[in-house]
Amino acid sequence: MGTSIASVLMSFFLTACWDKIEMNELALVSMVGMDSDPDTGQKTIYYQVVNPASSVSAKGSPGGDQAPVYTYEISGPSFGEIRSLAYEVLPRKLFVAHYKAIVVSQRAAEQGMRDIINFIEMQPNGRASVPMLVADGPLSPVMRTFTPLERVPADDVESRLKLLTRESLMVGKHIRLKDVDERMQQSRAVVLPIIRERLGNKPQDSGARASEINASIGNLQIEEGAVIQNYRMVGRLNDTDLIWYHLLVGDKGKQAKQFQVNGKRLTLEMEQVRFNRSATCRNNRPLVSIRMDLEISSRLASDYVPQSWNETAQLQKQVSQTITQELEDFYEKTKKKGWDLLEIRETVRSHLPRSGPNFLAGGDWNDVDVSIGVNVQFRRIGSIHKL
Amino acid sequence: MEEDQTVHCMYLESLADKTVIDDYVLKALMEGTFLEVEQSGVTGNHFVQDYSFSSARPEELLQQAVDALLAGQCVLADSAMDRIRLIHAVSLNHRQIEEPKSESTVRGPHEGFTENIDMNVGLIRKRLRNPRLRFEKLSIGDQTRTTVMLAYLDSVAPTFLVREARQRLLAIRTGSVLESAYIEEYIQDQIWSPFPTMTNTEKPDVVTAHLLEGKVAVLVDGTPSALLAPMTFFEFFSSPEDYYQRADIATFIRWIRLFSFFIAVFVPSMYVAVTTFHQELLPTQLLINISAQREGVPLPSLTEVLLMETVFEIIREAGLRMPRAIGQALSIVGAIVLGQAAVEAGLISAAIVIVVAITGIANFVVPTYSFGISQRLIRFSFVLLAGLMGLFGILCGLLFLIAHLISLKSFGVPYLAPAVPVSFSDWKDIFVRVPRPWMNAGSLPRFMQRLKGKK
Repeated sequence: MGTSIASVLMSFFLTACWDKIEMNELALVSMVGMDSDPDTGQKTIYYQVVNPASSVSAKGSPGGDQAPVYTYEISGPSFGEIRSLAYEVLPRKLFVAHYKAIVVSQRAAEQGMRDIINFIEMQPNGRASVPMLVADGPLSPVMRTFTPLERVPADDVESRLKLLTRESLMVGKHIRLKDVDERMQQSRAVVLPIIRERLGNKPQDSGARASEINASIGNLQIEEGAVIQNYRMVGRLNDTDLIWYHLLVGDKGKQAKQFQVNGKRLTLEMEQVRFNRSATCRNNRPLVSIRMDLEISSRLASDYVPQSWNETAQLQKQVSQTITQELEDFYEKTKKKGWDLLEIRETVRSHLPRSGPNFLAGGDWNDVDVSIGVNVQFRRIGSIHKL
Repeated sequence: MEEDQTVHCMYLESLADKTVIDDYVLKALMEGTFLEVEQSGVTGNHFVQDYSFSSARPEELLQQAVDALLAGQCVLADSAMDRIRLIHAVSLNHRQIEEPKSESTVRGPHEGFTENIDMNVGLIRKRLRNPRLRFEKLSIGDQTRTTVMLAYLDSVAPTFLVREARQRLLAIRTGSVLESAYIEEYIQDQIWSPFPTMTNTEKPDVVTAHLLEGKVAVLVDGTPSALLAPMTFFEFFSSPEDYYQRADIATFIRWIRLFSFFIAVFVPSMYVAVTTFHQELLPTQLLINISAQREGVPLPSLTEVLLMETVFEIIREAGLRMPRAIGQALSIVGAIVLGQAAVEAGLISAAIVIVVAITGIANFVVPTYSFGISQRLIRFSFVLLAGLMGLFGILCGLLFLIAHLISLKSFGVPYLAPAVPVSFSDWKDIFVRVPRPWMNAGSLPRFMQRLKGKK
């Protein structure tokens, strides 16, 4: 009797068999592109699927003429319907757990990304910790571009974003889908990188791409930033604006920039080492203070290098003033456009929990006073150029 | 002899030492210089024993004479003295002392037991010159009447343990005992557990070391393998070489063995689970590589692993029986050609060959062969569980395994001691091997001390 019961209970182990999936049955999606036509309302999803047979074979050589990825374009009246329509073109089960980037077309971003974010969040094995980018112009060229050096374009994009975040002030850390979602829910703005296809005679197949020495043509480029507010793209920031933006939100990263100081052009490398943002009340008005310490290096400067401590101190002061001015100009520009990129509202709410919300409810965040202070210190001075 | 008397001298040529009989017994009898031996009737005199015709019934005397002949003794039937005399003239023909093939060490003694139990006793006594070293002689097996010795150190071994071992040996009812494995199957704690609760060794230094820890040893005539009990799970990862090398390298190698155990048991099942149920756990590049390798392979991962593991076991077993001249070449051919050919034919993926190879090699790292067999058995169970339920199945199996190990005992000692129940003081010779000055040489492990308190 006991054996029979045990046998019946053991057969419950078999119930997990219906979850079995063979690897050959999976379409490994590496990048997702989403577009929405404002005129027709037609939605399009691009799934860039990795071709496993094109990777290094057991013998150690790449798999011949096979493309490393295939881009499937699926259109439908809504994103939800596209899930069902996907298998009209896809021969394998969609597996999005390993995708590395989501690209949204500019027109879809301008219409609003709420549906897009909702669709991705509702995927059973989709990840929200994936960076989002906005395509400059149509999405199709971006999704149909092979990249040199990295065979899978998603790897290329992921790697570039990591390097840009670490080695520059062009891209921030908070560009993931979950960051966008959180910030939109908190009525905060976010800046997403813009991706475009570089013009030129684009190689038409991966073999031609692999053998083309000029890596600049037919490649993807990440530059500028798309300002997203209330789930919509409301504007752009150029590369210089991106630097000031990331400094003002406290992002880390080194950035080299040419400054005009006393009529001289000077290339300086700056790195933010300390950042503080706080809010206080002054004359019954909230005052947001942004203080940052920057370390500067002139090792990349070839035109002018300070020769004495006095000159260094003077240069420090001038650079500090220049940067402060630039930052204030940037803030004014964004304020005029109605972009709360400095998170003034959030700062007032969190630092002035009693008076802040009342002020914001009665007035406008633009009426909040903002004080920006920059402390610059030279850490490395030196040049092999003789003056 | 003073008068013409007839003395029948009987012996089995194959078992008795003819030289001793010719030189000492027959010559003395014929020259008439055969002297009476003192205390020949005293019980315990194994060299010369007298049994008068009136001391027992003829059937019993006959049986004793037959037993003595079968034991290799010389039987003198002296009708003038109305007695039979048994003379210990057993032939000492036995194999030379060699290093055991399955327990070779780089450093340390290279002597091993032989099939002669007296020789084996001598090898132990040579190392443990303690008057409290006891050997209790038993005869087990109705047909074979095999001599079995229970060895222990009287002042050190817990009384409960010795009594338990003795009772278990005396309770054996069998026709034949040809190897210590026969005894082991009768006296082990659990028949259906894949894990052994006793170990066997062919090295006298290992037996000596265990006797000093309060354990008992069972020596069986006709086999060089001696049994040792009790044994815990973690002791199977110790090798005698750990104590003949420095403490640091010994500790490192112990951790390698523990790690190899996990590799040998869990790597194939983890591979099946991750590739069949949990592809999101793999790094992307690895997923792409494995996916590329599996393109065109007709079998699911579970079937691939089971097939290759079975083939590996076949090759291993065949390698044991093959003549040495061709064994090595054939095993290499079998492994390389089969694996490579199967990959090129598209029957299996290259990753499977690596998984099976690593598993097979890790299996051999554990010093005890019988424990290696346990690993092989439970590995298949985990692969099946992984194929059915993925990581959840492996966890279920692991929980069941841990529960089973916790419930297992070896002669009263918990099998997972000193991890469960915890005894941190014993960890110095289980998870690490501390330098000898830090070991309490005179004291027993805690789990053996608990046996001393038992009645």
